[in-house]
Amino acid sequence: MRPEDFEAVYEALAAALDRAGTDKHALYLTKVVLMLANLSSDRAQVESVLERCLEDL
Amino acid sequence: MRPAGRGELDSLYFSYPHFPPPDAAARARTTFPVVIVGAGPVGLVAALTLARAGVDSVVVERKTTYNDGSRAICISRSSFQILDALGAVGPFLDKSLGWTRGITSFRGTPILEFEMPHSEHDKYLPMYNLQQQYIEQFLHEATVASGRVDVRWGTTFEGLEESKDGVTITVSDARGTYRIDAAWLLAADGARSAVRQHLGLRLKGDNHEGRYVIADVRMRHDFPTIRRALFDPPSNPGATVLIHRQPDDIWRIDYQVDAGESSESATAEEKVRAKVAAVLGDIGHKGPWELEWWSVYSANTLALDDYRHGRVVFIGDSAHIVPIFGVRGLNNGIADAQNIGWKLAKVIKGQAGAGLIASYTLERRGATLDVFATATKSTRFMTPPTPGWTLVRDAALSLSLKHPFARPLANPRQMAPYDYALSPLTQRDSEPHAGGPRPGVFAHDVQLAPGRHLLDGTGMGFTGLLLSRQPVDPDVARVRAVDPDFRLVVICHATDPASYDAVRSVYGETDRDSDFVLIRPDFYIAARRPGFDPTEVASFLTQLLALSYADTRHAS
Repeated sequence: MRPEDFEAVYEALAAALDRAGTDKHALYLTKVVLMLANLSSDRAQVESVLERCLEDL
Repeated sequence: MRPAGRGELDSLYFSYPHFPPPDAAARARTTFPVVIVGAGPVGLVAALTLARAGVDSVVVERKTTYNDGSRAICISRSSFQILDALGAVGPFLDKSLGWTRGITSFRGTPILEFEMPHSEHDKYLPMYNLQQQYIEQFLHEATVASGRVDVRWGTTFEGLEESKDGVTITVSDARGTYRIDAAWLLAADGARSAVRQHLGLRLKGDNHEGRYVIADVRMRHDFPTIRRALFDPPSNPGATVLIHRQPDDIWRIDYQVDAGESSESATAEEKVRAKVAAVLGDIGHKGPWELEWWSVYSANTLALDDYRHGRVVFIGDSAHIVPIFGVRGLNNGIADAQNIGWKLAKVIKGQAGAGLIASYTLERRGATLDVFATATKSTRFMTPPTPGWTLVRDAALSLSLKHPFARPLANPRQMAPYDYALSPLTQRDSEPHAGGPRPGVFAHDVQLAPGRHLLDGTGMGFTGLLLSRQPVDPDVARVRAVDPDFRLVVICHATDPASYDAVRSVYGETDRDSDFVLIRPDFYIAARRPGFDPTEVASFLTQLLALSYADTRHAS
């Protein structure tokens, strides 16, 4: 992904989180993860992401 | 529990008989090959299995009638196959409601319709709904008809003494205390087994968080026999509700108890009425309804380390407690009863060594652990144990509304017979075999002609299935010398091509002139071989039945 595309995703996610509302953040993000995981079709890659995102919380 | 003013047995639709304890003459006999503690479905299937094999038993039951409520209501295809083999399936077919489908909805919107595995070759549907008291009634009537089962109602197990050759149990009834001697004891006395407690044995495993109220209502409600699962319904936000149709206009409604609520408070009549009314609102029922019966249960996965303790063998809930999602409690209990039943009958008749009994725990505890694995998944979906599990479950359900990829997560993983591939009674293939059920799996049925099925007549001794292109006349005497009940079913292409092709389509094609499948009395496939070699089959059965190395008179 080009840096400008990645930045667009960053902005779209921020806007979507605000549209979902604070009390729906967790549900919304979990749906996003499951759907991206299905698109990725790479279990090891997804599980690695799940682990790496636990760092530095 | 029942509404205020009605007794424990005041059912809206079922007339409970009263069975008095035996009089002096009826309890005169005090020595039996087998004593069974508990006249629930599991104990009665064990008694019937023994009776079919010609072995007498006595069943002692503390109560004086059938189960007070509908409880276990789903009977699987494999259990119907067992009832068929026991000659008892008729009344079950007449009364029960068969079903093949389920619908799951989330916040009032259907997200998943599932069809259970089902083919035109199957003699029975995947599942049948029938109240437990009918199950017990039909089984009890079959035991009476067998003439080999002495059911003693109002008779309480008080204790037992074990010896090398058997057990002596002490029981009490209204007339007093007496003793019964038996070579073997089957403990079918349920989750709070008195036999298990007497022996100081403990179930081990996990208690899950989720608790459910199960409530029966009587109402005229126009909906087919389909299992409905409602997640987060408007009536019960955050909770899970299951709805099953039963005979006699009875509907089962299961709903989750709120985490903070005590079971006592959740089972108060006004509370149950309010919850049920809300669920009926969810499913659009507007007519009148009557509350019939209710109870509460929790989702546990608990089992004994060993189902056998000397001459005492535990079957059903006394050996293992499983979550009810997936309807495995009753069906695994029935499979336990049939498994130990045919093995014990063979040992008692001197047709097998006591070593055969050792395979019971291996096979049936394996089945329980398998249930734990799948039921734990179902339970986590139905009643998520932590905030994390709740969040991913809700996310999956929310996605399911529009995205099919998420829907299989909501599949309830219904009961399927366990695979005995690793059992010592199962032989691996000696030659490649393309397709068809492997050794260790529950044999598949095949419709040979309308109303005529391959597995008809199976269930006493071992059954050999010989698929042959040319007519053959094999000599089975050698095999019958080991198993007198051995039956050979020959399906020949030259004489009956339609049946041959039908069986081949299910059991797999090979380029050989003949193929042989050995089916156990409980329908599991023990071995497959290219062709029928009576000497080899006799030798295999000798080994399987532990005849070569065990002394049937002195089991250890």
